[in-house]
Amino acid sequence: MAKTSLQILIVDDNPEDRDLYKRLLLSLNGKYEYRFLEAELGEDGLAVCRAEYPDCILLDYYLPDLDGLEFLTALEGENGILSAPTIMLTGSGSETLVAEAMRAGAVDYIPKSRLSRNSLERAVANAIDKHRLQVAIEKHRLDLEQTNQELRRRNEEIQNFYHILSHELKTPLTAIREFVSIVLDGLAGPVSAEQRDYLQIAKDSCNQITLGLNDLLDATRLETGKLHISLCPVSITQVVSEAVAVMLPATQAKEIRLQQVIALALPDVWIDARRISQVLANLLSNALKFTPKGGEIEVKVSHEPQRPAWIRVSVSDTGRGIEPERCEYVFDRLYQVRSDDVAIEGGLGLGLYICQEIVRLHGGEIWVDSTPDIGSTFSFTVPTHSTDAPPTDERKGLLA
Amino acid sequence: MKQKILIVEDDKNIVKALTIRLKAKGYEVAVAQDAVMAASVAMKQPPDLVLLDISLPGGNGFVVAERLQNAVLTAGVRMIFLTASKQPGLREKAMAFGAVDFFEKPYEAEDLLAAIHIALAAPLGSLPPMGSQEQSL
Repeated sequence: MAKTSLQILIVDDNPEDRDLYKRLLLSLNGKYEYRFLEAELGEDGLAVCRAEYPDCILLDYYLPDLDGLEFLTALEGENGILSAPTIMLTGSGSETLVAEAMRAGAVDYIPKSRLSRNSLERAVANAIDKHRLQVAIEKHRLDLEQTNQELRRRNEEIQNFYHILSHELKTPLTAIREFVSIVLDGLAGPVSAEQRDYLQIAKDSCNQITLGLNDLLDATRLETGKLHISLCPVSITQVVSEAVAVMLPATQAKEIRLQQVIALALPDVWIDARRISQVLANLLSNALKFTPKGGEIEVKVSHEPQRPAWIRVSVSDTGRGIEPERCEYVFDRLYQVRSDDVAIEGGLGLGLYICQEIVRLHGGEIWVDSTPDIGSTFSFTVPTHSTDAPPTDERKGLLA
Repeated sequence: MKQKILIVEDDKNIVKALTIRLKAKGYEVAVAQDAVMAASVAMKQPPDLVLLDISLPGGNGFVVAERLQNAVLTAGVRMIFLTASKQPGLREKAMAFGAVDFFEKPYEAEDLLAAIHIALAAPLGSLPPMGSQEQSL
């Protein structure tokens, strides 16, 4: 088998020492074939490194112009991790020197007093293997970094595309919805009751498309960390009452009783009211979707037990409930309810994921308690104080 | 005398829909379909209120807003932005440009007409800054 050829740079001001290292390495009949480069001074050694790229450097600690540490620092400054592996040699070995040399980037250290054929070749072989591994790791790291950057760039592109898509779809959608509304409102002549029903269906469908497009944009912004909230002190009673009032006509149409139970004298909460309204609207419309005619939906606001600085908001329904094994997945992005249930419309599978992320941006938690065929309760917490605190883990344990 | 509203919007169908709504409420309507026309139409016959789309050929709604606010004839004109874009920060930007309200498309006509009515009922300069009652996204 052909021997691997190695180029060794010896930086030592003592010519006898240089000859000794060469003799020791050449006297072995190992797996390497050696070629030597020599320098008496540190600066000369650095110049050789720039021109020749040695595979390994044997470095005397005490040089006339630089000491070993200065040499290593200069070498690493020029080449970083890719600089040749260096083995430090010195006449007066001390623990401090070893530590300093290794910190400065030397891969090994041999006191000249313990120099032997075997110790030198082992050190050179180890240094080279270690260096190759380091270079390979570094290359992988750079590859990963590049891949990561590329993925980020593509993510940006996708996000921009979604924005354009949303804009381009919403413009004609606005026209459709508005002309349907204009006819519905009687501005184009009398409308029969039957026509009114049909037009209302068309208008509601437009609203569904709008919600879907907005969810799509929110989800991409959440993934790229670009959805920001701005917290202000707000009355949670007001936020909940408004969300309930908006939902009331739809629940009445389905003969569902919608009621709110709000604890007295609640403090203000620090929330992004628009975003928490979005969470409530989402939970309420889910409750409406899954609750049969004649059922009940209750929105409850109370102090969070054991946690005085938090308020809990719950939306309970008497719907079909969620099987225990599915509860942990309902907040997953793109999670869909069972597709074999034809009675339930699909949806993008983004709603609860967005709710979860919005609540987490507030530092709160969201979870579900559910019994199949009895109903579900979705609850989340919001802070009564301005906080940058990260979400706590206690509730995650229940979800996991 | 009828109050005049200038619609600055490049989508013909939305212009048509807005015109039907506004005329039904008794407003006089002028239309500009790009940023350049917007300024010249507004200078010829200064409107009482401008409905401004943001994405426009030949500029954007903010450029138009700035031009109107800087011209003597149209300075202080009431402006309501109307956009299909969900880019973050647009609402705040509209406010900074002196808008009295901001609507996303698809808009609820009833809410838009109510906002126009309120804006026109208030004497110029007396309107509360937009966003004082609304949280930004």
